[in-house]
Amino acid sequence: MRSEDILNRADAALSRVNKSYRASQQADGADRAASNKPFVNRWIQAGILVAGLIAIITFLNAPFTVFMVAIVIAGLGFVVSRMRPTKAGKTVAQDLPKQDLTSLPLKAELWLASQRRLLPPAAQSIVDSICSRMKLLASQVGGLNDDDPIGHDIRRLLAEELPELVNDYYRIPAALRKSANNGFMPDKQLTQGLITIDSRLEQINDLLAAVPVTRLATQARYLDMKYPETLD
Amino acid sequence: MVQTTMTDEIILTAPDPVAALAPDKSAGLVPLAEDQKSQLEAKADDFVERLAALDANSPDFGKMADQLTNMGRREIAGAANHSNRFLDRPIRAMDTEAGVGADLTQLRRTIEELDPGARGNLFAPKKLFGVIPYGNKMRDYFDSYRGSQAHIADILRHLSSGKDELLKDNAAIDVERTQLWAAMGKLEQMIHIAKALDEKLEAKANDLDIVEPAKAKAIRDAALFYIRQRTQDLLTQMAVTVQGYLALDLVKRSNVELIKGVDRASTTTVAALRTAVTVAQALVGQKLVLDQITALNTTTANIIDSTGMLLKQQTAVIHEQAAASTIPVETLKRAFQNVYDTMDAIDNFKAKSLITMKTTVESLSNEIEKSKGYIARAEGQSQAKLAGDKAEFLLEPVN
Repeated sequence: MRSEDILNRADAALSRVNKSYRASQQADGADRAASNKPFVNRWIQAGILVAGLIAIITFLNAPFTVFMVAIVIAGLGFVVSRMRPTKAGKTVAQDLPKQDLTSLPLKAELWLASQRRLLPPAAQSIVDSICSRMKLLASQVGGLNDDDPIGHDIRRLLAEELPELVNDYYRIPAALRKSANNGFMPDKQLTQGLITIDSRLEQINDLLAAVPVTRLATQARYLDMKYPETLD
Repeated sequence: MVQTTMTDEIILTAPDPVAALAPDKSAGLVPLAEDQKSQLEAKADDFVERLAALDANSPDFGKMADQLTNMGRREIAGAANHSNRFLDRPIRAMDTEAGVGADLTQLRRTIEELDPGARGNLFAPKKLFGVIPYGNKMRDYFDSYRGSQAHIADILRHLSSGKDELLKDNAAIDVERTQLWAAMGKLEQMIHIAKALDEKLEAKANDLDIVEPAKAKAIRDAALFYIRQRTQDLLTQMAVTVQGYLALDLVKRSNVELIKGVDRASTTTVAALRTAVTVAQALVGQKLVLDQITALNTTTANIIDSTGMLLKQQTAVIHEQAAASTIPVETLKRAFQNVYDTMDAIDNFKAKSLITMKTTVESLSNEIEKSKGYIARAEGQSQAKLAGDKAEFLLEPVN
């Protein structure tokens, strides 16, 4: 059947588009997502074009239902192409300061994870630890803003100090990173800097976790004070 | 006679302001356990031995001496965080725009409208255009209660939740003081270790004066100087923290006084309403039913444990007196006077308390301002240290 054929082809095109969209979302290497972008857009545009052409052809001599289905597919293709984010989930260090505080930990985590394979092996395990701390932090920053001293600290640490440390490392030519220079070993310095950030994140997480703990203690004390006779 | 609604005079005492504490007086306020002291001294000994073993010109010597400038940074920051919170704390008791203050003002306004003293002679006949006898002033007066009762009930309910807010504040203060106490314990430990280091470094430098004068000088210049500076920072922060600790207690005591005031205002108001009910019956044979009174009684009796019993006794006496007394309007006036006295006492208390708070806040702000410099300095050092070497020997509090 001609109409089934058309539907199958359109479906196949759409699912390819979806698959590469999902893949681009999941890609931890941001480079891969970036290289996928023109490829994916071409497929969407081709899908819209094909469905539109079929619609025109069938309008001339095909059953009305086939025509309608083709129109719907063309419409869907258009919507999907509009919905595609212009930047395929890629987080670059320069974007971090623009993030609001609630999304900053996860964005910084995405960014750092994408840098992992570029860092020396000793630093990679610290990166893993930092990433898991940032995930925990993401669940705790709700309700914080930049006016809070701790919110300000988090922004400085994740959006400025961490990227600065890693970028300073990148500025050193790869060949010189493992050798001692003026008594400093870049690989070692980077790892130590990351350890410091890791322990600061641990402190911040502890501080934030103390807030609900204090609140609970306060509520218990309040109940004690309000209904003292029930203590006996 | 008509002593019925006279209650003990209410005295709400505003606590004294917290005086500034000199840094050199601040050490030793939080007791340390003997084993803590010996552990800290062992740390200091270990540090001095290791430092003295290093070549005075090596970067390692400098790095180790740097630890002294950073010592107690976290403890200072932690304690500063807590003592600043006193200044952030909105003093609900003092807020006239919202909460308990606003409710009390509203209650006073409503009570003033019902005050029999403000209605002129209630026994005088009411006349239309001053000539034609018309209605009954007394009856009209008691009728006005009906319109006000829901409003009064509403205010009393607000006062009750306002009281809960004050209690919550006090609970938060208790928790915060517990945390401050812990922070002070850590500061005390750092002060102890700093003093031990001072002593031991000086002794070491004296020992080395003859055999290794260069190292003795390095110890004096790079270590002893900084440890003395650090001791001063720690003592200043301790003084601020102790003041914050005392200031929080001041807020707590003010809240307790205000809770007493709110309790009394509620009791006297309900007493005045009850008196009106009985007086109406005695004077004009009018059965004045204030639906809310029972409900109010339950609410207020719950919130005023201490005075609830007193209220019950009073009410019984009012009933007796109202039936027998020849001048029940005086009884009623006295009941209203009681409400006014209570509210005046609260106003006086608030005025005095405000001065106390202001003095405390000013003295604490000054001290915090002083300690801020030290915190900024410590912060700068920690930033510089970010990508630096991780110290393997840490001067930290024990357990």
